[in-house]
Order: sequence, then C-alpha cells, then structure tokens
Amino acid sequence: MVNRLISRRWGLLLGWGVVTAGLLVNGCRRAEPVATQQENVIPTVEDIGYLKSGPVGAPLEGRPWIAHVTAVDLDHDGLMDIVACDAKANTVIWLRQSPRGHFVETVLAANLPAPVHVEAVDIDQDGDLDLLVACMGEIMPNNGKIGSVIILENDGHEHFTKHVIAENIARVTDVRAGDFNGDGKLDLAVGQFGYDQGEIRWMENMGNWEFKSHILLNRSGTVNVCVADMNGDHTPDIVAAVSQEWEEIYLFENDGHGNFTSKIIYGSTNEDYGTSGISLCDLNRDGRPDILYTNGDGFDYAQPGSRPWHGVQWLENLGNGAFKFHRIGDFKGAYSPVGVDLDGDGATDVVVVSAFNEWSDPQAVSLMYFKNDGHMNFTPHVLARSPTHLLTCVAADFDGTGQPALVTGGFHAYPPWDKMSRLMLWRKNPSP
Amino acid sequence: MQVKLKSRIFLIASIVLLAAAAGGYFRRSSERRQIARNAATLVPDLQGAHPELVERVQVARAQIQLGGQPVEALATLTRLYYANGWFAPAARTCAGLVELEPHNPQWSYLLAIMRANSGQLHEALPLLQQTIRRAPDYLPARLKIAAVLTKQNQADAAIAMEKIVLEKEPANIYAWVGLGNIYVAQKKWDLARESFQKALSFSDQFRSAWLGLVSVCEATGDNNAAAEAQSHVDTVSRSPDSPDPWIDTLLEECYNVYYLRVAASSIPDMIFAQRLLERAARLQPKDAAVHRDFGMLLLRLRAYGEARHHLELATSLAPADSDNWIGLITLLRAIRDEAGIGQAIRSGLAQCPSSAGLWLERGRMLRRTHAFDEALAAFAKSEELGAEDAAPHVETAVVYFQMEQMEPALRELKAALGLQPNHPFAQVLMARYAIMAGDKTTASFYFEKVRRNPSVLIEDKKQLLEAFESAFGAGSR
Repeated sequence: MVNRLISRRWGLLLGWGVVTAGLLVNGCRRAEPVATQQENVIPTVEDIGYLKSGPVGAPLEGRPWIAHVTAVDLDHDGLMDIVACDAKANTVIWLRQSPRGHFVETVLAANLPAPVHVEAVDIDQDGDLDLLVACMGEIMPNNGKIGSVIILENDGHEHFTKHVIAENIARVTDVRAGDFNGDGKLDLAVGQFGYDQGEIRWMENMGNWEFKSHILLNRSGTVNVCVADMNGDHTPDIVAAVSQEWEEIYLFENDGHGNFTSKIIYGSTNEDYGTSGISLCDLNRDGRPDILYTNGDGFDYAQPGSRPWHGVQWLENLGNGAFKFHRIGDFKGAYSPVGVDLDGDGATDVVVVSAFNEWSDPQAVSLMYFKNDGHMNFTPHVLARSPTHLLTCVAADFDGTGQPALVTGGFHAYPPWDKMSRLMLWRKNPSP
Repeated sequence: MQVKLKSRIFLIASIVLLAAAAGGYFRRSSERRQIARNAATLVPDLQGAHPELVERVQVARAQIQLGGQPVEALATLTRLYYANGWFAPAARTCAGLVELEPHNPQWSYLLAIMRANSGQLHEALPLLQQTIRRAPDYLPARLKIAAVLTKQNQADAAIAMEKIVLEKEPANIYAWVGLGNIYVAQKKWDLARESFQKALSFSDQFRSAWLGLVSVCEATGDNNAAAEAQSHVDTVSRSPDSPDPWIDTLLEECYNVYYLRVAASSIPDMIFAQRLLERAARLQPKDAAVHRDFGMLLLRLRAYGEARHHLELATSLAPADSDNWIGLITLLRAIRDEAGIGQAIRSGLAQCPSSAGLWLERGRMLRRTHAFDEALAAFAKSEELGAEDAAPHVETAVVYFQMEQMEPALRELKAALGLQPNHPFAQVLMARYAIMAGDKTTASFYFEKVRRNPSVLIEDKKQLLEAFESAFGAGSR
C-alpha cells in the first residue's frame, strides 16, 4: 500500500519537502562549532621578584602592630620620609630619609592611645607640616567612648606639641583636613568606628586650637574619611567608608559653607563584605577623583581569615555626585588600596596588601598589584607571599628617580607568626 | 483518484510537519547544549581540591560536553562551584541556568546572591525581581530586594517591600528591623522607634533591634532610654542571620574543610553546624583541627562522650599542637574528670613543653588543689612563654586573692590590664575587689568598663550589678 501511495515522483516531492522544512526550521547558517577555545583558568600573573624588599626603621621585635603608614617630606629637605602609627607602642614614628636611601627612625609622639591613622597637613598654616592623628583608644572591640583626635603641632624644626582636639568620643579611625566653610581655616573631617555606635563629624576650626563639632552621621563602623571636591563644584566634600554590618560608602556634599547633604553612593547587602579601606585616585585620568575601595577585613570572624568575596573595586566618578561601581578583582584579606603607576606604562595600577589571608597556605598572597592595561582592565600580579599580615601600604618616589617604591606595615595580631615584618620598603628590582 | 491525491498530500504534509517539528526540537536541544557549554567554559583552579570534588566537577563537565542532561550537569557545577568559593565560575554556570530555565526562581536567586555578595547590586536587583515573580512567597528574596533598594537610596520602594513581607509574615523580625533602619536614615524617629519595638516584641534577643533603638534614643536626646537599651545590647549576642534555605543547604556541597569549619563556627544552628563538621571530618579524617572543632561543638551540645572521642583523636593526630590538648582539657574540666585533666596536662606538656596555654592549665589545676606555690610557679612559666598574654597575670591574681594577699593580686590585675585593657575577667575582678573594699568610685569605674565590654558574659554582668547594688544601693550606679 505504501508503494502505491509513495511513487517515485511523490517520494522526490516528499524528500524536497523534508529538506525545505529542515532548512526553514534550522536556517541556512552553519551549525555552531563546539567551543574549541582553550578553557580558561582565572588568570593571575606571578611577579615575585618584580620588587626587591628590605626592612626600614627599628628592628623587628615581638609582634608589631603598624596600623598606618604614609609618605611625606616632613622636614622639607627634598627627600621623602615615612611617618607611621605603631598601635602597640602607642607612638607616631618618623623615618627620616637623610641622606638619600638612609632612614633613621625617631618617635615623634608617645603615649598616644592606639593611634591608627596619621595625616600630614599644615593645619595652622605656618609653613610647616603638622600631623593629624586618629586614636582609637583600644584596637580590640570596645564600646567605650575612648577615642580621640590629636594634632601634633610642628614648631618648624620637627618638634611636636600635642593638642587634644577631641577625646572621650567613639573610637576614632581617621581624620583629614579641609576648609569646609570657606573661612580660610582648615577644618577637620573625622571618622569614628566606635563599635555599637559611631559617628562621622566635621570639626569647625574656631582658631587657637579650638574646634566645634558638627555630626554628619550616627553610624558605627567608619574606617576611612577622605576629603576632595568630588562633584566638581570647587568645594571640599567628604567621602567615608563605613563597615560593621552597614558596608556603605557615603558622600557628604558640601555647599561651601559647611552644610552637607549626605547620600550612599555604594552599599553592599553582604553584611560580611569586610569593608577595609578607601583612597582617592583619578584612576581613569578623566580629571575627577575616583574611589578605590577594598573589602578584606576578616578580624571579626571566629577564626580571623578571608572570605571568597574579598577584593578590590573602584567607584568611577561620573560627575555631579554620581558614581559607578566596577569590580577590579578578588583578593583575600584586601586592605589599603593605592593607585600608582607601578610599572611606568602610563596607566594607573592598583596596589593592595592582604591583612587576612589563609596564611597556613604557602600560596597565600600578601602583596598584589592589579595592572591596568590603560583601558581599565586589570590583571592581578602577585608581588609577594611573605611577609604576611600586611595592613597598610603607601607608594612614593623615595629615590628621586620618578619610579615609585612601596612601604608596607605589618599588623600581627593573630597567628602564624613565622613571616612577620614591621616596616618594609619595596623597590623595583633592577633589570638583569 | 482525487481521494488518493488528497491522501498523499496529507501524508506528505504530515511528514513534512513532523520533520519540521523534529528539526525544531533538535535545534533547540542543540542550542541548549551550546548554552550549557558556553556557561561552563570558565574553570576554577582545581589544584589541591578534594579528589571527590574534582571527579564530580569533571563528570559534570563531561556530561555538558557530551550534550546529555545539560541542566542537571550545569546545576551540579553551579552548586559545587558556589559551595567551594569559586564564585566567578559559579556565576557563569548559574547565568547559563537562568537562561536555560528562566522559570526556575532558585537560579535567578542564586545568581542574584552572587552578584550582591561581590558588590554588583545593579545586576542583582533585576534577578531578585525575577525571583519573586516566580516565587512571590520566598521572603528571603523580598528582604534582599528591600536591602538592595535601601543601599540604592530608594527608601520608599524599600519600605514598600518590607511591608509586603510583613503582610505575609507579621512577625518577621528582619523586616521590622529593616524598616527601622530606613526610618533612622530618614530621621523619622517615631516610626523608627515603633519598628524596633515591634521587632523586640517578638524577640528581645535581637541585638540589631536594640542597637537601632539606642540610635533613636540618642538622636532624640532620651539618654536614659538609650542607656537602658544599651544595657540590653550588652547582654545579647550577635543577631542570627536571616534563614535562607535555598542558600544555606549549598554548604553541604562544600569540600573546603576551612570553609566548613568557619561556617560551622559562625552559624547559630548547631545541628546544621554539626552536619558540616561531620562532613569536614569525612573529607579529611586525619585533620586534627576538624576533630578539635567538632569536639568543641559537641561539648557545647553536651554530647560529652562523642566530644571526648574527637578531642582525643585530635591530640593523637597532632600531639604537638597544644590547642588540641587545651581543647581536651576544657572538656575534661566540664565533666570534672580531674584525673583525666592531670593526665592530659602531663601528656600535653611532654609534647609541647613551651606551650604557655598548657602551663596555664597546669597552674589552674594546681590552684584547684590549693597547691598555691606550685600554681604560682606554673603561671610564671606561662607568663614567660607567652609574654604578650594577660591570662597568666589574671590567674596569678586569683591565686593571690585566695591567699589573701591583696597587693600582689592588684598588681597582677593591673599588669594584665596593661597588656590587655579590655580583658573581661580582669575588669570583673577589679570591679569585685573595689565593691568588696567599699571603694564606690573605683567600683563604678570598672563596672562601666564591664558593662561596655562585649566579651563579658551576660551572667557575670548581672551578678556584678547585683553585687554593686547590694553594696552601694539600688540605682546608685
């Protein structure tokens, strides 16, 4: 019966029908080839040996707690110095470079209750650099009002007089300067981590070392405040990084008279995000300051350590107070982001240290730089795995060659203790 | 004849249609397989990973390459990658699942969580919204949306979402606290206060609700109420994470023993924590730290027999790790096995003669037997070995108190507080001594420190308050 139904002619017709149907359904394009590309492993470049490191300052003793390091020519002798906070010795120290390449450490101020940030600025505008010091009172968790803001006034010869600007307040983690009300005097922006409660305030310079507080935000967890004109209106604004369970970046826009409008420009819903620090840097060189932002804090966990989402990102300043989030890369325990053209290729890279990595793993990285290809694409380059527990980093031209070097500070509050450092200077290894 | 023609046409048309349908089916299958292959191109570094994990990943990847069961294979990869901290490949495979099964809310939710966890809220929000379209009653997704909207300064939309959660679950503490925090940011103090008080009406053990109330009271100048609320903050531990079944169960696919240990130490559900540590022990049966963690968890669950098994196993696997001996001694102390304690200390010190912690335990044991001089020697040894540690000073102070030598006791306490200003027990002892001595000023000073110290046990704070008020009168603080 089938033979009678399907004669040769009908069979041909049927065949053409099937082919036509197939073509109509599948299209005329060639079938997609199975992916033949090399399957990708997340790329990280090994660059151990790119930098050569060595200790600077006092020799390593015990388990150091260097909470902050900054680079500044404190004595205006043309040589870049190092100023740091030793939160265990409760001192602010100065590693004076003199002559070039030789650093001598002195204590500028002692008996400071847990200093964690130092900023050099001519606060009294007498031509020399004073030091703003943020003191927590106690590094370990504490609800008490034990924080203080201290200014070390320079007499012009690097002898410093201590002025206690504020005390018995929620623990202070950062203090910067800016003329917020346009009266010609430098005021202060203050970040207070506290513990359960904290604050962000600006302190109006009334003259004669008197400052009047204005509270901007009642929230615990501030780790950094930065001052810059963020919205292009030529008045200094304040950017703050708030951790604890909030994990937010705030912008306080100044109208030029000390009146601020606040808004969250970035927030993570991950309460363990681990906001650990911000810095300002025009990363894409468009003339507007962007925000580099690390999330790598791991101290609050039952076992201090890392999380898979730790890393570094930047908030691109789009102008008029708008920002766009860009993730740069993952890095466990990320702290202290520094924008610097480390490799001299004309693009700003991002250097990051790690304070909370899985140090029992010999592959755990402590110093990384994210190389910028010039188009805001970043490749992680491993610079070091030892020493470990690095909390702070700064980049500067210490040698006068135009080539930046790095200084890192070690904060050893939990084990292991076998790869410790205090202050390390990292220079580019000369090409063979 | 015409009938024959029509039959032939019908037959041919049917065959053509069937062919078209078959072609369409195969084309879609081919596309789906290609989507799966593209989603699986990013491979984590499997070096050092558990062999079983590596095998499961390879099997799933092979299934994808061969083209069979793409969704199941991709889902396996997603769970394995996510649970083991490989978030970038997990996000890629999960994105493939969202494309293959757009109606499955679990994939869009998981991808949203990954985006949110790595800070990409703009990508997370539409995925969350997709989730609640498919699963309108999965409240964790709605809470997450409210949180994202809050972070994006969309307060009104966030409030609306929290209220939807409360319509479905009026006792949802997380929604009440979320509302309260939004109102605090808006400085709507009355609404904020109501929200936090509502949360606390369902559970007064919710720390973040008390914290919110403190903020409200301080902002409105109600310092007494703020202090009252703060005293509650001081007595409750961290608020538990919002339950999220679709995410929490993924931990059972984790092969990273470190992550399992960390998760087990931080989740409030101790039964689930036990499952995680059982898994860790199965994965690395010779890992002493796992057995130590497991033993300590079982100790908290009062499963003393099993706890002892794991802690003894830890000491046999890694006898040179003093933490294992100290864990075992903690258990033995809980079950008052003094003979066992003595044996453990002797064995531990034989293996770890430089362990400050074991010398401390030896000192404690000797103090319990009133061998005070030997106890002091042991504490001195502990202090010598652990110079940065306040504990030997505190223990020495206790011995001196027992010997009724107050001056050296106070010296040791001050030395302890010099090393560790926030040492909880040292603060409590200073406060107690001052109360006993009738020194109200010093007692008040240390009482305040104790009250603000989150490390002091709730019970100790209450007892101290009672002692203070007994000595100086109620309300005299």
